[in-house]
Amino acid sequence: MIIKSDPLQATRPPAGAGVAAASGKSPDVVSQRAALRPVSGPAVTVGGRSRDGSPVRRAVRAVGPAALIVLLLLVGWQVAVMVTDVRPQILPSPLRVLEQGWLNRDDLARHGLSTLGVTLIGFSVSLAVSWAVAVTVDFVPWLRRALVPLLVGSQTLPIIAIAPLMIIWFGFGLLPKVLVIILTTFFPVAIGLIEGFASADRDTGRLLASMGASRWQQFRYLRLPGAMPRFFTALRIGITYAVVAAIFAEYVGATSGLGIYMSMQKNSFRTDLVLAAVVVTAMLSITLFALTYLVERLVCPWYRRGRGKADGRG
Amino acid sequence: MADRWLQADPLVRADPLVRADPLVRAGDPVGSELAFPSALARGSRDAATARGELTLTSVSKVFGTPSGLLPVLDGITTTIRRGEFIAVIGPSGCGKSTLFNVLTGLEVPDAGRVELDGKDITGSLGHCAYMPQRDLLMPWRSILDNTVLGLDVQGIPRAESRRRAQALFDQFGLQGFETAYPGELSGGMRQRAALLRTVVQDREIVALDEPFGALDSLTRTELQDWLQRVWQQHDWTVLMITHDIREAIYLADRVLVLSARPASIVRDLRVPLRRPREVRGVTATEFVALEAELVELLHCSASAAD
Repeated sequence: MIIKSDPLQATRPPAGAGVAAASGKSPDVVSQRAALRPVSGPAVTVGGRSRDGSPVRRAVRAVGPAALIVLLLLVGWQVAVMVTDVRPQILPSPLRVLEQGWLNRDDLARHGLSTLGVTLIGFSVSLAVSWAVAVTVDFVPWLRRALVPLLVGSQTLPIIAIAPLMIIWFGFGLLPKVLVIILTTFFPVAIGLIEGFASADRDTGRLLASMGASRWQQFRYLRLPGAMPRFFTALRIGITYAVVAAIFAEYVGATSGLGIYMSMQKNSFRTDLVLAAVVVTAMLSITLFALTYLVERLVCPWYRRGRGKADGRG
Repeated sequence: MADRWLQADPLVRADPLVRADPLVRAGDPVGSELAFPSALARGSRDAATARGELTLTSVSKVFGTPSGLLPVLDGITTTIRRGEFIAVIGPSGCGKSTLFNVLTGLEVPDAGRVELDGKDITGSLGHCAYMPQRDLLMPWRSILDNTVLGLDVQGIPRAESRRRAQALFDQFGLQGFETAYPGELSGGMRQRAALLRTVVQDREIVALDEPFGALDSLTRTELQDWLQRVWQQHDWTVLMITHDIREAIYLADRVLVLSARPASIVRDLRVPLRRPREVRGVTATEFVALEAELVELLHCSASAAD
């Protein structure tokens, strides 16, 4: 981490040679200082590190408190089950959940992969539809007024009532699950994009207009990249909803997947395996959620590098 | 047009003014036929007034508001020669920005004409490169990509546009920052990048809307000094809105003083100070006299508004 300073300011005494002479800073001194800068580089890095910590340390500090709480709860749960001697069909201990989950890892993996596949397919279709609608709405303003109420409406549909109907209409295949995922995730993503496009800086829009930019160029150079932060927020909300939606659709009726697995284990009073499936679901959601940050870094490298100062721009 | 940019680089490096500047690499070859002092360049430019002459004739603009008609510009008439540096000052809200919008073609005046070499360019885009008050650098574009924005809009091939902008990076004190993002730059550098983005478009007129208004006074003085030098080395016709009377006198050939809304030109003041002007010169008698005159004029315009 080398602090880049303004070369103009670094190599030239501040406005007017008189000022520099009065303060005893000859240009030579200034250039000497500039020459010394690489030496001071590592010192700055060390200073930065002691403040931010190593990556491992930072990670520990980020997830540490949450992990500690979870651990305490699990220990409390384990102790409570051992003390009260409650039947495992009612409340299994965390260790039992772990043990039984491990013994049934093949089943859990198979159903987990099935759920992951449904989630990814459904969410991809949902993303494609959201993008198509959001871009269309951005170019045709009256469509925005026409469609946004419909989007809000789609979000108020009680999925718990619609999902069984989907099974009746479209069977146990992929289609009803994809539809349930779209119904659940389309709204946050589309709204995030529509508002992201609309949030484009007006002055920058005028600047582009003065350069002779077409509506398409305005979109490409300004509205689209400007919408990225909001899009990724919406993406994070969407992907977690998508996992829940997939499991719910499977729960209502499927041939494989964590949803139907939980339903079956519940019916045979295997509470421990239901909870093991819940753990797998949580891991799935967290992994997908974390992946959105990775994608964000790849798509928006500026977001991390210029953070803070860039946000203060307007 | 493109030739001008090819030449710009050797011209700059050969200029004695610039060679004194430590920014310019010492090893650069000097001594092409373009190596004449900047004073000569300005002289020859003054003679060649045939091309790039901007004329505004009785430009008026009225906005319709809920409370009735609001006249903003009232018969602005002036002629700006190629290579001139014009400062526009006036009370706040007097219509300076509207005047700029008319110049850039973003707005069409209700009456009057804007002409370039006798050709009517009223309301047409593409003659005037505009630099707004905020730098408006896009945080998702690198500095180099930001500076070529106008060329991208014009559809100039990527390699060509980047070559043109790159040629100016040295002079704008931005070398080495091509791949940096705006968030990593200081305010002064961002402003220089914004100016580079403006002039690289190679338009007939460069319109600057309070370019240094948001900077601290030390950085501002430094950039004024720098702007004067680069302007002398190039062939830019500059119109600059400013609230800073000293900045206007220090930089401009002529200062247009606007009245309160609806704006008309109350004074077209020639600044007869020799160039290159120095920051120390702000205490010189002529400078102070001009400043006093402008303060008086502005005071009158502002109080007329009340």
